[in-house]
Amino acid sequence: MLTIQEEEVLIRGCLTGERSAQKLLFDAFAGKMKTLCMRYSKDPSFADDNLQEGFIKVFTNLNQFKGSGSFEGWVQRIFIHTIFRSNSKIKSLQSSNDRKEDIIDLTFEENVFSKMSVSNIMNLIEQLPHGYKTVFNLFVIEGFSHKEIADLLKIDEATSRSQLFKARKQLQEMLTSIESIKSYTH
Amino acid sequence: MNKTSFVSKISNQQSYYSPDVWSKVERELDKKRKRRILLFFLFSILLMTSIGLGSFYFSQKNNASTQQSDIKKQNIEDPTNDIPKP
Repeated sequence: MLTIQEEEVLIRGCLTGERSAQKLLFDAFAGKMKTLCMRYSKDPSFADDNLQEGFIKVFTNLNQFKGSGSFEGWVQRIFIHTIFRSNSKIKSLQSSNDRKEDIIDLTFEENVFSKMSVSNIMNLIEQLPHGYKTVFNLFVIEGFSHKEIADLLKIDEATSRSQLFKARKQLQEMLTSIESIKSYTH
Repeated sequence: MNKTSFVSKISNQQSYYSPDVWSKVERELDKKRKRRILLFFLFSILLMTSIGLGSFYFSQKNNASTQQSDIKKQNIEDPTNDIPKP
């Protein structure tokens, strides 16, 4: 984990084209960004391609980073856009006009997920249908708004809301069944 | 939205990546840098050629107009110049 000062020094180095600074920045973010790529594609070689493409974009567009927000957030957004531009399959979400509540309460997931390991949580999310999983990851994990998701996936905002609602409903059902199995066996 | 603990747990997770990725990134960055240098070089050549051609054209134009004004000057000084000599 880099401090803000270290990040600034590395960014300055990268802007002047210093290869060692670029390598250090790559090492600092590659692991996390690989996880992000894997969230949207289970194929490791495809994830590696996105990782490579994402870092090239990060280094070539670094002069556009204004330093107003978090650098990691900026890098993450570049990766998300790279992944969705290169993977047309992710874009194929069903359109729907159901409108649900925009502000979501994650208390239920938080209570259950906090007792689970990361790999178990990820396995559970992985079991969701493709469209639900994509919107859930973008909204809950990446922190995108419904408008941003709609722009990215070229869908209606209502579709994004609906997919998130259904994803959470399905997750809650899965979590409830896990909980009831646990309580029965104990 | 504040990141809840399970969200930060997931987003902070690191995955193994192939060491080849960095060498590919490096290679691609080198290619882009070379392409940029080449473009800069071509642009400089184009610019210099245009400047050269432009200055040549204007100097020729200036020479022509100087010669013309010299002839006119001579004609003014010696008006008989216009009359064909027998």
